[in-house]
Amino acid sequence: MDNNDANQVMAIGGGGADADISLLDILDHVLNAGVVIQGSLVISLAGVDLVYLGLNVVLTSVETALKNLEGK
Amino acid sequence: MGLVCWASRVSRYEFVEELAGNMENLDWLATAGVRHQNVVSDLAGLGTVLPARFGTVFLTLDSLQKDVARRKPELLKSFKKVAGADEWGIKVFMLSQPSPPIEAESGADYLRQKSAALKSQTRKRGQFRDLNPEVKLFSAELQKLAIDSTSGGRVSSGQTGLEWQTSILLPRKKQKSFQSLVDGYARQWQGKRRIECTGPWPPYSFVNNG
Repeated sequence: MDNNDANQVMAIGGGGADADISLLDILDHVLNAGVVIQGSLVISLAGVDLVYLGLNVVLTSVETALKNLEGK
Repeated sequence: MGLVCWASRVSRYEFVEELAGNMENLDWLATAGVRHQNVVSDLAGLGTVLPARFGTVFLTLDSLQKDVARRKPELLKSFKKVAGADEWGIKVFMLSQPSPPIEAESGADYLRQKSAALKSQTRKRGQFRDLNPEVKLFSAELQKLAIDSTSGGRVSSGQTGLEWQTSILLPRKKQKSFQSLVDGYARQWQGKRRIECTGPWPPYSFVNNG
């Protein structure tokens, strides 16, 4: 696949250990909107809804947690 | 016909008393959510699995057994439905338009302005009929391959540039056709849109939770 202008990403492997599957996608599938707080995940920083800035901004802070899990 | 149910013991404090608060704690949610998916994924390698969503908690083994017994007819139907199929997540992103420069007096002010600009750019969860015709066509062709589909996750709905997303239940024998379909649209949308697919997932979105 030509990645210079990659307009398609096929990330195979719904299992948790693959680095290419983002936390965002895992949560998208394992969470039921009815169970989570009214269907949206909102993280606040200085009163701004970070979900609109892209959760990837915040996800780097949980990389350690994911690495720990991979070791189990 | 016997059903096998896999359950894990979890901390009552974390999953009952503090659950609401914990669901808003990304560190906790990330660790617990990924652990959930890891276990389900391993089990899915053994045979057809009807995965429970993260956070499905029963206070006692007895209440779990009673619930499964009560739902047995729907569960048997669900097993038939998902056998030989996987869930796939598909997202379509518009490639970014240049945005006007932001002049801000402080970091927090910048974040506020950026957030407002992105909110107006990011399409709200509107009507299907408001979607671009090409995306509608893509959706229709996906539906032809899939057993079932649903509107997809809520967590990623705030992602920048996300135009549309869905989760489909795709028979494994249709996987090649699915790949061709996505490849075709990716070529057609070169420079305009990006398609992201993840999978195969256990069929979280297609279990009747009655």
